[in-house]
Amino acid sequence: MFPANEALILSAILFSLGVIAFIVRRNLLYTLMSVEIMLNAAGLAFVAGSAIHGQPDGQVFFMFILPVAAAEVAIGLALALLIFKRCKTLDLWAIARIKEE
Amino acid sequence: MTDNGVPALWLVPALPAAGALIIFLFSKFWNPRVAGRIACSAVGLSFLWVLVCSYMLITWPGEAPRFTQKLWTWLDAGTITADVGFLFDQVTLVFTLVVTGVGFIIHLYSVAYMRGDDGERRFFGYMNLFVAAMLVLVMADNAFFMFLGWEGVGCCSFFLIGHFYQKQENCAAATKAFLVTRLGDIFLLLGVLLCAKLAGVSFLDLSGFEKVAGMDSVPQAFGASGPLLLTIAGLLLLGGAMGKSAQLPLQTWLPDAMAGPTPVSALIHAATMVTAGVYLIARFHVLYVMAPVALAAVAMVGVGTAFYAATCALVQTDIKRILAYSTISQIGYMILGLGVGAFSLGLFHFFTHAFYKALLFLAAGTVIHALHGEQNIYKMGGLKASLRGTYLVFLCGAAALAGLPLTAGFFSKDAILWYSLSTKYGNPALFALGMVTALLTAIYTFRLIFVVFHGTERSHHHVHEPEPLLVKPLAVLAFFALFAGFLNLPHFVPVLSAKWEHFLEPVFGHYHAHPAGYGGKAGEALAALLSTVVSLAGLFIAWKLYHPGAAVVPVPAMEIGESETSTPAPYKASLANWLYRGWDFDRAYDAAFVRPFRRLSGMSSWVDRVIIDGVFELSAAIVRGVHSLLLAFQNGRLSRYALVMLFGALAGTIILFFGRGW
Repeated sequence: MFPANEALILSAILFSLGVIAFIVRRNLLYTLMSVEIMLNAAGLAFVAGSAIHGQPDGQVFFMFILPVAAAEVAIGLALALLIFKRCKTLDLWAIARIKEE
Repeated sequence: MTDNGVPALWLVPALPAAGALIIFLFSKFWNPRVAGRIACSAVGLSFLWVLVCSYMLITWPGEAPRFTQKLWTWLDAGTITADVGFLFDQVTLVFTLVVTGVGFIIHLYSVAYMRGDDGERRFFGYMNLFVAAMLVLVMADNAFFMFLGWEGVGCCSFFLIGHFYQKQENCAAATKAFLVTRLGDIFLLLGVLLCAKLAGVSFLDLSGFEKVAGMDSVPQAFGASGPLLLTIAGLLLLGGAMGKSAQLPLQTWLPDAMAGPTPVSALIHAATMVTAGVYLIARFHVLYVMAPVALAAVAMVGVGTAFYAATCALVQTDIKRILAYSTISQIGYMILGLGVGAFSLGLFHFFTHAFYKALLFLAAGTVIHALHGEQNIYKMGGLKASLRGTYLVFLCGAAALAGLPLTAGFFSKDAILWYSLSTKYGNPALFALGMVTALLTAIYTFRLIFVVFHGTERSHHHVHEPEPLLVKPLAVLAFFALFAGFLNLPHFVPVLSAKWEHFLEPVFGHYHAHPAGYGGKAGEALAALLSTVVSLAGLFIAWKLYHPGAAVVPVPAMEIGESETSTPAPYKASLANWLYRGWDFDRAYDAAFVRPFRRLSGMSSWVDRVIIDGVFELSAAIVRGVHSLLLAFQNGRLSRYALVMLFGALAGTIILFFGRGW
């Protein structure tokens, strides 16, 4: 039996971790990673919901989330690379200051 | 020529208007001298056409001939309609002849006078435009079209007074003239509208000013308030005349208007425009006869102004200001003539005055020209020898102005004085004040002659001989100044008596007042004798006071090189200084209107700056504050955006789950 409730709690913990990481970390790489964590937490919640209701929809939805996450990583990393080339840093606050100047 | 044999009246104002148009549009491509030639020929042709029209009017068969010509409907607003239409009757004939005839001579003179001036083209353009507007004023067959000309001449007057606009005072003088006459114009417009209301359409309709049916029915149509309304209309029109003709209490602009070139003073501020008020009252004579109170007001304004301006002219030191005050005074006589019901004599005095005053101004212009712009009479002196021709024509004009026997001014002024005593509107007070004014007129006129032309030369300039064009045309004016009076000899003369009055009878008809009592023709002869004595006495007093070597009246203390306007008090005696400042009208107006207005404008400027601007600046400040508040959110800090999103999502979730039932 799939422990749906525990999975949901894990998903919530993962999502919270992602959010907190997204808010407190200033490095772009970590930010991207926290976004990935949040996506996966959401995916876990979908799967758990699918198990609870006995319906495949949630799992199908996770199938869609996976390529989205992959694409996000690909583009996000490419952008991070370019930003690093230009700004010589990945510190988001420093990048914001550069924009202001 | 039109179908029914009436000459093309529109050509009279159209010619100078075309001249103005050509000068304004094209003369910059030509030599500036061409402008003068165009202007002269335009006015000259117009004069010839007026002569043709006049000849046809005089020889026209039938009783009371008058030409009217309607071109098109100008405005059609319910009960008020106005046409672009022209009227040519005996009154118009007199005015158009003077405007184009004297105007032509002044244009000729200007060609020499304005030679080499920077604004020569502009000057002639506005001169021609002025003549066109003045002709519209006197030829319009309804009051609204007349108002167009009325405003047109005011406008050209403004431009020409400010001709030498490089000097601040000249611009101020132009503005003053414009504003003061505008004040009168407002009264005129109100008066015209009231007349339109009183008389319905017919009075201002195509058939012109004489269509009195509308006016005669006013007392019936309006019942008890009819006479009051007529009086108000008459007083409003008098207000318009006061502004344009520089009558008390709106006379202050005319002495300052002398800032313009001298031909402008001669044409606009002596011969034609300033007599528009005379024309106006003569045109509306029916109204005034039906409103005796308004007519009495006209007479009092006239004689009061005549006296006032004569006293001021006694002490002026600027040759042009003396002539300006004498113009105000002489127009006062014309208005007095109208005010005692002697409409044709008011016009007769206008007619003679146009010649001798234009002559005096132009001759004064020649003197000023010869002395390189000197206008102070106490710096002239002894010009009799060096400016012989000018002296002679000036003497002719001065004799007419002073009313020496048998000159034009003598007959016209004496007739007005006699009527001011003997008609049913006249009384001895008007006559007496008029006689005193005649004495003063003779004194200041010959003071001018003695100080300027006799005695020793006080000018430091070399007097150069004026060119012929500055003297020759004046001979024509001098001829009329001396002999125009024979057109209307007094009634006691067996031949040619009252010719002028008969000539204008078709216009004024039974509205014209006639002398009654006071001994009839014998009384008239006595009055003529009295005014002869008065003018000769004036001449004698002037000789006693101002002949070379006389030092009874102190010469004003004026430093050489000091400008005329910068000395408000040239005399030791305070009375003389008070007269010099024109009875302090300017100061009173300054205190009563100009300074309160400045204070009001200062206050409204404060309201504008602090309150009105404050409201807008406050709203701008609010927007700016909100902007800076919002700016704090968009700071590029990704994590802060995320935080805000988080709280937003949380709040949304809470509302979604726990907010049910709200």
